[in-house]
Amino acid sequence: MRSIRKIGLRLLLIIVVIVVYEIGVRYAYESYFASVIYTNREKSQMAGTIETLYCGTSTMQRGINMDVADQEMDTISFNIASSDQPMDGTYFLMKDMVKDNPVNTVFLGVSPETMSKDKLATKWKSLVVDRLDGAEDKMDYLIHGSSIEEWPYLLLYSVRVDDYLDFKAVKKNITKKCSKEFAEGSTHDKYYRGRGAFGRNKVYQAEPVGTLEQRKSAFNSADIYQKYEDYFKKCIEFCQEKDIEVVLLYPPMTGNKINKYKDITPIHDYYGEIAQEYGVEFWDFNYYKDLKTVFSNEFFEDEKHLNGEGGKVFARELAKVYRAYQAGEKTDKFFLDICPFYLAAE
Amino acid sequence: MTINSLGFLLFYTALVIIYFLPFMKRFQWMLLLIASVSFYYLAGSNNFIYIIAATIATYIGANLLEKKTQKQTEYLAENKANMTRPEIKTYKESIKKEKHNILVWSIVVILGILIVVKYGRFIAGNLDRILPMANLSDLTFFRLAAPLGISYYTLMSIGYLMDVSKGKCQCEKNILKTGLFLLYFPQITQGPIGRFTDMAGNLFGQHEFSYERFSYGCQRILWGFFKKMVIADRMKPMVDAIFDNYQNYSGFSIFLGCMYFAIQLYADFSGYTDIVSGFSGILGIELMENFRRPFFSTSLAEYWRRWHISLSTWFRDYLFYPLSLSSPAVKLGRVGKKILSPRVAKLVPSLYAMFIVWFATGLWHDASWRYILWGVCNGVIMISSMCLEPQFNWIKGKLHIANDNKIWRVFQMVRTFLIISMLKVFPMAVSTKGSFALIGKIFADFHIEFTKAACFPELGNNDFVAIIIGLVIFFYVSVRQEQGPMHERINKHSFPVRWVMYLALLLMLVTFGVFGTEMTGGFEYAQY
Repeated sequence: MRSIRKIGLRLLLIIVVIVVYEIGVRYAYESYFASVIYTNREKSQMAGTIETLYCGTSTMQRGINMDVADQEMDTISFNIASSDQPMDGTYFLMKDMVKDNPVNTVFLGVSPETMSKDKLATKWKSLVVDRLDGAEDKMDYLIHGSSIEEWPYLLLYSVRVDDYLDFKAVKKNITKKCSKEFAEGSTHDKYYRGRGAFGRNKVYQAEPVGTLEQRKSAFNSADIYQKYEDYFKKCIEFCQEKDIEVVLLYPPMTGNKINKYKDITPIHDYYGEIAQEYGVEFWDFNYYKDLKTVFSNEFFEDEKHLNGEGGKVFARELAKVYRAYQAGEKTDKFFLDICPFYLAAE
Repeated sequence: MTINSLGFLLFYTALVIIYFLPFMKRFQWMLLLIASVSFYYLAGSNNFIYIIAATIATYIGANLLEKKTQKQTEYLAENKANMTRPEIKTYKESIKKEKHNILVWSIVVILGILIVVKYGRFIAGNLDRILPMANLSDLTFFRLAAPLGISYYTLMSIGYLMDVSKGKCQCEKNILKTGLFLLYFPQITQGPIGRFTDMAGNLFGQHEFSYERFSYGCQRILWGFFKKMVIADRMKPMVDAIFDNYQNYSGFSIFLGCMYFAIQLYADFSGYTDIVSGFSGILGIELMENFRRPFFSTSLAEYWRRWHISLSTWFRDYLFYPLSLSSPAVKLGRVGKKILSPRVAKLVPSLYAMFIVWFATGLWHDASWRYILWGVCNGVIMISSMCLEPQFNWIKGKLHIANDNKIWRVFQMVRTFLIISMLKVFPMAVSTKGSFALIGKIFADFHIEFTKAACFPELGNNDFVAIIIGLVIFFYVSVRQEQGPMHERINKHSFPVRWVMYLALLLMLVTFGVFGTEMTGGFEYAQY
């Protein structure tokens, strides 16, 4: 018994030291403009008010301008998407948001590429852990969404620091974090557009759309990692249990990206079948009637990510469909049965 | 699951809690067996056939050997008075012969498994070169995958049988306990190669929880993780970068790479040994020490007395001694007397045994000619230094160098380290041809270049600082360990001082250790 007490006290000492060290390292080394700081801050400030959620991967995070979306759709929304976000991460982040907010609509972004990666980089999972509130939620995700070997990396910021010798950055971080501007939230990355969303100014410079012969990779639903498919469905089921409207959303891509797929139809069909199975809407903007005219290359930062301006355009187009849907109209009229780029190519 | 994974820590914590429950005392060895089987499975080995076969062969062999010994004792106790000396001698000889046959057959079975699964492909490949028509490499029999830890438990098993045969220890009557001895989880993947005489008492005995043992075990585990994660894992990308693309590097960089690999391998392997010794020590089972600061060795022979001690002493006790006393060795000695100087002739039996031992050491590490060459090179260097000792002493005398001269000792250590490093060209190459290419590069394209790309390729600032800090601490601790046991020194300090040291090491591990999914990366010696 004496030994147990002795060990317990020493274990406690170790935990306290690691926690203090962790806080210190995070304060000194985590960039003052890291979006997670601002996202978490805004999330807690908005707690109890968020009605609409945008979920998914980088295409959703960079695809929607939140201000325009809210203005056009009369919503109070938040973007919980992040780069290569694993589906289980989306599920836990969504649950976390629904717990604290009166969410009534969820736009669930689809990303066949992310769902086809059976082993997503641990650093992308860390973006999920860092955004989750409370130890219980974090623990929940660690147990279900990561392997035990990833835990130290996900739990401890100090093991993620790339360069401990970058004292210049440390000085800048501490100076900035002690400033009034930081407290006010104006020191964030210039591409951070608030409420979790991003939007870069870069414009995609691409070659003209390729021919059928240039199409390289083919989508195969068998490539989808089973665990992510299950979590994708769990997200829909969770929303339906909570009486939340779910819309599956495939943000628009450039013609070049679309043409890189041998055929985009299997992707459309794969998510379409899931939508049908659960009786939810699936708005594939790569089948959008005005895809070629509205989403020209100038609204993209690269092949598949919309830029700052593109986020505004997409938010407006999405709002058009959403308003029609709210009014009880059929949304089919906005979409074609085939991707407009294939029409042109063939 | 490897022992440096978080999964293992949880597995081990659960084991310790159950192990020390008051009512578990009598069943502790059974729990260890269950844990060992589980670990073996979780470590990626789902093929238990070989270890079961080895356990059965060891068990039957050891019991038959002991029966023969008992039979001899009982028979002589009853009949000795009525027997003449020659009769006793003849009887003993016949029993010895029977025991010898049992031992040989048991070893043939155990070693046979190893030869088939580990060396089958190598043997078939070489036979195919001589007899291309045979196409033996295509036979499934020669394409089996070597199961985890087979090189280690095979040696443990043979050592145990030889000890029983010589009457150094009694055989184990319980086959499950024999299984536990071979499968004991802290040493199954890469040793130490335990001896039954040292381990049986602890392994099958009952243990109370001891805080002192727990504390010392944790110290060793922390130190082992530090060596593995801060030094070895940080150096690995640099070493890999050099040897994966050696064509792009000069001989100077390749030689540096050899030195880095020597350090990385030591940090990796000794780190592993510290971790498993710590884990085992907490359970009350002491493992054999495998290292004694080998880089402080002043000769290659001394290096091998300090490096992978459990392997080198195994070869010494179970191969070198029997070989050097065998009739071929004695005959060679007689021939040597006729053609060599008396001093060298005296050495002939030892030299003969040494050559075979080093050939076997190379072969034990891997079924390839480059490892055999590596082993033979070690042997040749040691044999040469033995033969040329008078000449070296003469030169030393002429130069007025005293043996206890500190500068001379440092020179010897550096020289030994350089030899060890140079020999790393064999394990670091992917093939025998590659080893020669590396040697060729080192000698034909050697130009000193003090740039970061040439000296520390693929190394970031963080890595560089981590390695330097790690090595400074490692060197300091090694120097102190040479002066006496480190944990005794630590325990002399007050509680706050001790804990500042522990926590500093822990925070350094967190700061400079390689974490993430790389943490699951195994240890270098597990491949052998």
